[in-house]
Amino acid sequence: MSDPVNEPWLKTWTPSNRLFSWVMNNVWFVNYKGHQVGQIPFRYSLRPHKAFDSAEAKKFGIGLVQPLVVAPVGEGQQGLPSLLKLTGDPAVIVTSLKPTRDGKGYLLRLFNTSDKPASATLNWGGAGQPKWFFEQ
Amino acid sequence: MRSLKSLATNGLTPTNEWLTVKLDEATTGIASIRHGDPFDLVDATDSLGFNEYWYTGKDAANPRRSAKPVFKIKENGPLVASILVSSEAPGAKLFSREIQLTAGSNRVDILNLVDKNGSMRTKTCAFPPFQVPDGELRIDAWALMQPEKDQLKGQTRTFCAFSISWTSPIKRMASLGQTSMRHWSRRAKC
Repeated sequence: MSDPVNEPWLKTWTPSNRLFSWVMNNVWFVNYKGHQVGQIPFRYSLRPHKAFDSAEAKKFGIGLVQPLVVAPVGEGQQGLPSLLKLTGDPAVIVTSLKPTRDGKGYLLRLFNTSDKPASATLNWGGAGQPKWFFEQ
Repeated sequence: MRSLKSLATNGLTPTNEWLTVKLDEATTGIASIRHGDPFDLVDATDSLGFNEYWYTGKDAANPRRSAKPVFKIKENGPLVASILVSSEAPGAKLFSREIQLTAGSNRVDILNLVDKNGSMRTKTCAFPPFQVPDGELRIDAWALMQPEKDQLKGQTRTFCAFSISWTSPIKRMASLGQTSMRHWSRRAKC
Protein backbone atom coordinates (compact mmCIF):
# COMPACT_ATOMS: atom_id res chain seq x y z
CA MET A 1 0.00 0.00 0.00
CA SER A 2 1.10 3.62 0.29
CA ASP A 3 4.23 4.84 1.99
CA PRO A 4 3.01 5.91 5.43
CA VAL A 5 6.03 8.17 5.92
CA ASN A 6 6.06 10.17 2.70
CA GLU A 7 2.38 9.88 1.85
CA PRO A 8 0.42 9.41 5.01
CA TRP A 9 -3.31 8.93 4.90
CA LEU A 10 -5.33 12.04 5.53
CA LYS A 11 -5.75 12.91 9.17
CA THR A 12 -8.42 15.57 8.81
CA TRP A 13 -11.03 16.82 6.37
CA THR A 14 -11.22 20.48 5.60
CA PRO A 15 -14.76 21.69 4.93
CA SER A 16 -15.22 21.91 1.18
CA ASN A 17 -17.85 22.26 -1.54
CA ARG A 18 -15.89 19.86 -3.68
CA LEU A 19 -16.94 16.28 -4.14
CA PHE A 20 -15.10 13.66 -6.14
CA SER A 21 -16.94 10.50 -7.03
CA TRP A 22 -14.57 7.59 -7.43
CA VAL A 23 -16.15 5.93 -10.41
CA MET A 24 -13.42 3.35 -10.70
CA ASN A 25 -10.52 2.18 -8.68
CA ASN A 26 -8.89 -1.01 -9.80
CA VAL A 27 -6.25 -1.02 -7.14
CA TRP A 28 -7.89 -3.37 -4.73
CA PHE A 29 -5.48 -6.09 -3.75
CA VAL A 30 -7.84 -8.96 -4.26
CA ASN A 31 -7.95 -11.95 -6.53
CA TYR A 32 -9.81 -10.76 -9.59
CA LYS A 33 -8.64 -9.46 -12.92
CA GLY A 34 -8.03 -5.77 -12.47
CA HIS A 35 -8.29 -4.53 -16.05
CA GLN A 36 -11.81 -5.60 -16.83
CA VAL A 37 -13.39 -3.74 -19.73
CA GLY A 38 -16.89 -2.70 -20.67
CA GLN A 39 -19.57 -0.07 -20.29
CA ILE A 40 -20.41 0.94 -16.76
CA PRO A 41 -23.11 3.50 -15.92
CA PHE A 42 -22.96 5.89 -12.99
CA ARG A 43 -26.10 7.76 -11.99
CA TYR A 44 -26.32 10.91 -9.90
CA SER A 45 -29.20 13.15 -8.93
CA LEU A 46 -29.03 16.70 -7.68
CA ARG A 47 -31.85 18.49 -5.93
CA PRO A 48 -31.30 22.06 -4.83
CA HIS A 49 -33.16 23.13 -1.72
CA LYS A 50 -33.29 25.89 0.84
CA ALA A 51 -32.83 24.98 4.50
CA PHE A 52 -31.63 21.45 5.15
CA ASP A 53 -34.36 18.99 6.04
CA SER A 54 -33.05 15.64 7.26
CA ALA A 55 -36.26 13.77 6.49
CA GLU A 56 -36.56 15.17 2.98
CA ALA A 57 -32.91 14.36 2.25
CA LYS A 58 -33.38 10.83 3.52
CA LYS A 59 -36.55 10.29 1.53
CA PHE A 60 -34.93 11.72 -1.58
CA GLY A 61 -32.12 9.19 -1.38
CA ILE A 62 -34.42 6.27 -0.58
CA GLY A 63 -36.77 7.26 -3.39
CA LEU A 64 -33.97 7.00 -5.92
CA VAL A 65 -32.57 3.74 -4.62
CA GLN A 66 -35.98 2.15 -4.11
CA PRO A 67 -38.19 3.65 -6.83
CA LEU A 68 -41.89 2.95 -6.96
CA VAL A 69 -42.79 -0.28 -8.69
CA VAL A 70 -45.24 0.11 -11.54
CA ALA A 71 -47.85 -2.63 -11.87
CA PRO A 72 -50.71 -3.03 -14.33
CA VAL A 73 -54.24 -2.67 -12.99
CA GLY A 74 -57.63 -3.38 -14.42
CA GLU A 75 -59.85 -0.64 -15.76
CA GLY A 76 -61.75 0.97 -12.91
CA GLN A 77 -59.78 -0.89 -10.27
CA GLN A 78 -59.66 0.98 -6.99
CA GLY A 79 -56.45 1.53 -5.08
CA LEU A 80 -55.82 -0.37 -1.89
CA PRO A 81 -56.64 1.49 1.33
CA SER A 82 -53.76 2.60 3.52
CA LEU A 83 -52.82 0.21 6.29
CA LEU A 84 -51.80 3.01 8.58
CA LYS A 85 -51.12 6.71 8.86
CA LEU A 86 -48.08 8.27 10.45
CA THR A 87 -48.45 11.67 12.09
CA GLY A 88 -46.38 13.76 14.43
CA ASP A 89 -42.78 14.85 14.00
CA PRO A 90 -41.98 14.86 10.25
CA ALA A 91 -38.43 13.75 11.07
CA VAL A 92 -39.83 10.27 11.66
CA ILE A 93 -40.26 8.31 8.44
CA VAL A 94 -41.27 4.78 7.47
CA THR A 95 -38.33 2.93 5.95
CA SER A 96 -40.03 -0.42 5.40
CA LEU A 97 -43.38 -2.13 5.68
CA LYS A 98 -43.67 -5.78 4.78
CA PRO A 99 -45.70 -8.88 5.68
CA THR A 100 -44.22 -11.09 8.37
CA ARG A 101 -42.94 -14.53 7.39
CA ASP A 102 -45.90 -16.29 8.95
CA GLY A 103 -48.27 -14.07 6.99
CA LYS A 104 -50.16 -13.09 10.12
CA GLY A 105 -49.05 -9.51 10.38
CA TYR A 106 -46.84 -6.73 9.15
CA LEU A 107 -43.40 -5.59 10.10
CA LEU A 108 -43.02 -1.82 10.15
CA ARG A 109 -39.74 -0.02 10.58
CA LEU A 110 -39.56 3.63 11.57
CA PHE A 111 -36.50 5.86 11.49
CA ASN A 112 -35.81 9.17 13.16
CA THR A 113 -33.81 11.10 10.57
CA SER A 114 -32.87 13.89 12.95
CA ASP A 115 -30.30 13.97 15.72
CA LYS A 116 -32.95 14.86 18.29
CA PRO A 117 -35.64 12.83 20.04
CA ALA A 118 -38.86 12.78 18.06
CA SER A 119 -42.33 11.44 18.66
CA ALA A 120 -44.84 10.19 16.15
CA THR A 121 -48.22 8.54 16.22
CA LEU A 122 -49.33 5.52 14.26
CA ASN A 123 -52.97 5.38 13.30
CA TRP A 124 -53.59 1.77 12.32
CA GLY A 125 -57.02 2.04 10.82
CA GLY A 126 -58.45 -1.42 10.43
CA ALA A 127 -55.13 -3.24 10.70
CA GLY A 128 -55.26 -3.68 14.46
CA GLN A 129 -52.69 -2.67 17.03
CA PRO A 130 -48.99 -3.54 17.11
CA LYS A 131 -48.14 -6.64 19.09
CA TRP A 132 -44.44 -6.02 19.49
CA PHE A 133 -42.31 -2.91 19.55
CA PHE A 134 -38.54 -2.97 19.28
CA GLU A 135 -36.06 -0.12 19.49
CA GLN A 136 -32.70 -0.32 17.75
CA MET B 1 -48.17 17.42 -15.10
CA ARG B 2 -46.87 20.63 -16.58
CA SER B 3 -44.73 20.34 -19.64
CA LEU B 4 -41.17 21.52 -20.05
CA LYS B 5 -40.38 24.84 -21.54
CA SER B 6 -38.61 24.53 -24.82
CA LEU B 7 -34.85 24.30 -24.77
CA ALA B 8 -32.95 27.51 -25.02
CA THR B 9 -31.79 28.75 -28.39
CA ASN B 10 -28.24 27.50 -28.01
CA GLY B 11 -29.51 24.01 -27.40
CA LEU B 12 -27.41 23.45 -24.30
CA THR B 13 -29.69 24.82 -21.63
CA PRO B 14 -32.47 22.43 -20.62
CA THR B 15 -35.05 24.20 -18.52
CA ASN B 16 -38.18 23.26 -16.65
CA GLU B 17 -40.38 25.12 -14.16
CA TRP B 18 -37.87 24.48 -11.36
CA LEU B 19 -34.42 24.40 -12.83
CA THR B 20 -32.20 25.77 -15.53
CA VAL B 21 -29.06 23.82 -16.31
CA LYS B 22 -26.44 25.22 -18.61
CA LEU B 23 -23.78 23.09 -20.24
CA ASP B 24 -20.46 24.54 -21.28
CA GLU B 25 -19.10 23.69 -24.72
CA ALA B 26 -15.60 24.74 -23.71
CA THR B 27 -15.23 22.64 -20.59
CA THR B 28 -17.91 20.04 -21.47
CA GLY B 29 -19.14 20.13 -17.88
CA ILE B 30 -22.16 21.74 -16.26
CA ALA B 31 -21.55 25.47 -16.15
CA SER B 32 -24.61 26.55 -14.22
CA ILE B 33 -27.54 25.25 -12.20
CA ARG B 34 -30.15 27.79 -11.21
CA HIS B 35 -33.10 27.05 -9.03
CA GLY B 36 -35.66 29.73 -9.66
CA ASP B 37 -33.50 32.61 -8.56
CA PRO B 38 -30.37 34.33 -9.86
CA PHE B 39 -28.11 32.44 -7.49
CA ASP B 40 -25.93 29.94 -9.29
CA LEU B 41 -25.21 26.70 -7.47
CA VAL B 42 -22.14 25.99 -9.58
CA ASP B 43 -18.87 27.81 -9.17
CA ALA B 44 -17.91 28.01 -12.82
CA THR B 45 -14.60 29.66 -12.04
CA ASP B 46 -13.15 26.42 -10.74
CA SER B 47 -10.98 24.83 -13.43
CA LEU B 48 -11.88 21.28 -12.43
CA GLY B 49 -15.34 21.60 -13.94
CA PHE B 50 -18.65 20.27 -12.69
CA ASN B 51 -19.43 16.67 -13.61
CA GLU B 52 -16.10 16.34 -15.36
CA TYR B 53 -14.21 13.09 -15.83
CA TRP B 54 -10.70 12.94 -14.46
CA TYR B 55 -8.26 10.17 -15.04
CA THR B 56 -5.90 10.29 -12.14
CA GLY B 57 -3.70 7.31 -12.80
CA LYS B 58 -1.26 6.59 -10.03
CA ASP B 59 -0.40 10.24 -9.58
CA ALA B 60 -3.34 12.37 -8.57
CA ALA B 61 -1.20 15.47 -8.99
CA ASN B 62 -1.36 15.18 -12.80
CA PRO B 63 -4.88 14.12 -13.75
CA ARG B 64 -6.24 14.23 -17.30
CA ARG B 65 -9.77 15.14 -18.29
CA SER B 66 -12.12 14.20 -21.13
CA ALA B 67 -11.79 15.94 -24.50
CA LYS B 68 -13.39 16.50 -27.90
CA PRO B 69 -17.03 16.59 -26.78
CA VAL B 70 -19.89 16.01 -29.17
CA PHE B 71 -23.23 17.39 -28.01
CA LYS B 72 -26.55 15.89 -28.99
CA ILE B 73 -30.07 16.78 -27.92
CA LYS B 74 -31.47 13.39 -26.99
CA GLU B 75 -34.91 14.41 -25.71
CA ASN B 76 -36.54 17.74 -26.39
CA GLY B 77 -39.72 17.63 -24.32
CA PRO B 78 -42.50 17.82 -23.55
CA LEU B 79 -41.91 15.43 -20.65
CA VAL B 80 -38.15 14.98 -20.70
CA ALA B 81 -35.30 17.19 -21.87
CA SER B 82 -31.85 15.68 -22.03
CA ILE B 83 -28.54 16.43 -23.65
CA LEU B 84 -25.98 13.75 -24.40
CA VAL B 85 -22.30 14.65 -24.38
CA SER B 86 -19.92 12.05 -25.80
CA SER B 87 -16.21 12.57 -25.29
CA GLU B 88 -12.87 10.95 -25.64
CA ALA B 89 -11.44 10.09 -22.27
CA PRO B 90 -8.11 8.70 -21.09
CA GLY B 91 -8.48 5.21 -19.71
CA ALA B 92 -11.72 4.67 -21.59
CA LYS B 93 -12.89 4.01 -25.12
CA LEU B 94 -15.68 6.50 -24.61
CA PHE B 95 -17.13 8.67 -21.87
CA SER B 96 -20.67 9.96 -22.19
CA ARG B 97 -22.79 12.16 -19.95
CA GLU B 98 -26.52 12.57 -20.17
CA ILE B 99 -27.98 15.56 -18.33
CA GLN B 100 -31.71 15.21 -17.88
CA LEU B 101 -34.61 17.25 -16.56
CA THR B 102 -38.14 15.91 -16.19
CA ALA B 103 -41.31 17.95 -16.20
CA GLY B 104 -42.59 18.59 -12.68
CA SER B 105 -39.39 17.39 -11.01
CA ASN B 106 -37.00 19.69 -9.19
CA ARG B 107 -33.97 17.52 -9.64
CA VAL B 108 -31.21 17.11 -12.18
CA ASP B 109 -30.48 13.54 -13.22
CA ILE B 110 -27.06 12.69 -14.54
CA LEU B 111 -26.13 9.44 -16.24
CA ASN B 112 -22.42 9.06 -16.83
CA LEU B 113 -21.27 6.08 -18.87
CA VAL B 114 -17.67 4.92 -18.89
CA ASP B 115 -16.71 2.47 -21.63
CA LYS B 116 -13.69 1.21 -19.83
CA ASN B 117 -10.56 0.05 -21.61
CA GLY B 118 -7.92 -2.27 -20.19
CA SER B 119 -6.26 0.34 -18.02
CA MET B 120 -6.05 -0.39 -14.35
CA ARG B 121 -5.69 3.20 -13.26
CA THR B 122 -8.16 5.20 -11.25
CA LYS B 123 -10.92 7.29 -12.78
CA THR B 124 -12.83 9.98 -10.99
CA CYS B 125 -15.90 12.04 -11.78
CA ALA B 126 -15.55 15.44 -10.23
CA PHE B 127 -18.45 17.37 -8.82
CA PRO B 128 -16.57 20.43 -7.75
CA PRO B 129 -17.40 22.92 -6.77
CA PHE B 130 -20.85 23.59 -5.44
CA GLN B 131 -21.22 27.27 -4.79
CA VAL B 132 -22.89 27.10 -1.43
CA PRO B 133 -21.52 29.66 1.03
CA ASP B 134 -20.75 27.97 4.32
CA GLY B 135 -22.24 24.79 2.92
CA GLU B 136 -22.36 21.78 5.19
CA LEU B 137 -21.81 18.29 3.88
CA ARG B 138 -23.79 15.44 5.35
CA ILE B 139 -23.26 11.84 4.41
CA ASP B 140 -26.08 9.34 4.55
CA ALA B 141 -24.43 6.36 6.18
CA TRP B 142 -27.92 5.24 7.21
CA ALA B 143 -27.86 7.87 9.90
CA LEU B 144 -26.72 11.25 8.63
CA MET B 145 -23.19 12.18 9.61
CA GLN B 146 -20.93 15.12 9.02
CA PRO B 147 -17.33 14.42 8.05
CA GLU B 148 -14.84 15.20 10.75
CA LYS B 149 -17.47 16.35 13.20
CA ASP B 150 -19.10 12.97 13.65
CA GLN B 151 -16.13 10.75 12.91
CA LEU B 152 -14.13 8.70 15.29
CA LYS B 153 -10.55 9.80 15.73
CA GLY B 154 -9.05 6.78 14.00
CA GLN B 155 -11.48 6.62 11.09
CA THR B 156 -10.20 7.18 7.55
CA ARG B 157 -10.45 10.61 5.96
CA THR B 158 -9.12 9.46 2.60
CA PHE B 159 -12.48 8.29 1.30
CA CYS B 160 -16.05 7.89 2.42
CA ALA B 161 -19.27 6.19 1.44
CA PHE B 162 -22.31 8.37 0.89
CA SER B 163 -25.76 9.09 -0.37
CA ILE B 164 -26.89 12.67 0.02
CA SER B 165 -28.98 15.38 -1.65
CA TRP B 166 -26.34 15.01 -4.28
CA THR B 167 -27.00 11.33 -4.41
CA SER B 168 -25.64 8.47 -6.38
CA PRO B 169 -27.83 5.37 -6.50
CA ILE B 170 -25.00 3.26 -7.86
CA LYS B 171 -21.65 4.65 -6.85
CA ARG B 172 -21.04 5.15 -3.18
CA MET B 173 -17.44 6.19 -2.84
CA ALA B 174 -16.31 9.78 -2.74
CA SER B 175 -13.54 11.98 -1.52
CA LEU B 176 -13.85 15.55 -0.37
CA GLY B 177 -11.91 18.63 -1.35
CA GLN B 178 -9.18 16.80 -3.21
CA THR B 179 -8.56 13.53 -4.97
CA SER B 180 -6.66 11.40 -2.55
CA MET B 181 -6.35 8.17 -4.48
CA ARG B 182 -2.59 8.29 -4.54
CA HIS B 183 -2.55 7.25 -0.95
CA TRP B 184 -3.20 3.69 -1.88
CA SER B 185 -2.62 3.49 -5.61
CA ARG B 186 0.99 4.61 -5.71
CA ARG B 187 2.51 1.19 -5.42
CA ALA B 188 0.04 -0.73 -7.51
CA LYS B 189 1.93 -2.85 -10.05
CA CYS B 190 -0.11 -2.21 -13.16
